[in-house]
Amino acid sequence: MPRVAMTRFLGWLAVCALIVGLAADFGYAPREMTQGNVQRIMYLHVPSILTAYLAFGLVLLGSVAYLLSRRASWDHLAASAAEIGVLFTAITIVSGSIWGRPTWGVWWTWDARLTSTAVLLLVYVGYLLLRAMVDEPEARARYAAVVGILGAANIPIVHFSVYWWRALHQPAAMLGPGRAPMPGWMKGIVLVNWIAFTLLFAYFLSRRMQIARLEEQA
Amino acid sequence: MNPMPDHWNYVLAAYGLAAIGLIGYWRYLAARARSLSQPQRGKGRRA
Repeated sequence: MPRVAMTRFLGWLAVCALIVGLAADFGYAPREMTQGNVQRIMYLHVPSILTAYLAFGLVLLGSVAYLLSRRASWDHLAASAAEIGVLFTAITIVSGSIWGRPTWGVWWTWDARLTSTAVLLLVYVGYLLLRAMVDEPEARARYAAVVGILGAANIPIVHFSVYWWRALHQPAAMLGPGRAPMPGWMKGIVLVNWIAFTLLFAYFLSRRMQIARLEEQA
Repeated sequence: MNPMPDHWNYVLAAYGLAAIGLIGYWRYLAARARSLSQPQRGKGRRA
């Protein structure tokens, strides 16, 4: 299948998965007993950060592979994944803040999880700013790769911050060291949305990498 | 017993802002791809 057709197929697949996710969030999931309907924000919040982890993991992969091979395609992967990762991290922070207001009574608190996530966002915004500041393509790719590798160190800090420090934020809903603090059906809905977001991420990544190739040719 | 009010406005705000972000990025990618491919198409026509 040609690359453009594959990307389009991926886009439609993501749209279908997002519709299924939304139906699960608002149709299948019952009103949560303690938090009420505001708990439905979790079906957006948790898959967003898991997708951001995937994006920043690919930044790490692309950065290491670029430094080893000096192939521009790895730099394109890292740059594209960073941009999309910033988008999903921003969605995580905004949705978490909106959830926090009625649940905790505050929009923001300097809790370990929240602070480390804000630092994660700032590191990758810095990564994108660095790329915008350096004109020479090889130097840009080299400097960005170093930041991309160092920035990835923040991913485990964000994820395990709720276990390493006394945090207001609840334990990891997915990929935690222990059992997920939620029933199986709830975990299933998070999983459906995570799949939808991963497909959307793959679609965005494919399109963004096509743009990176066009930018190189221009 | 209803321990917490429904807060549908917060739910809609979270999903709405996420939709704006995702659709906005999709539109940005489409516009960027169009602007990059247009000069090439122009060159092709001239040639």
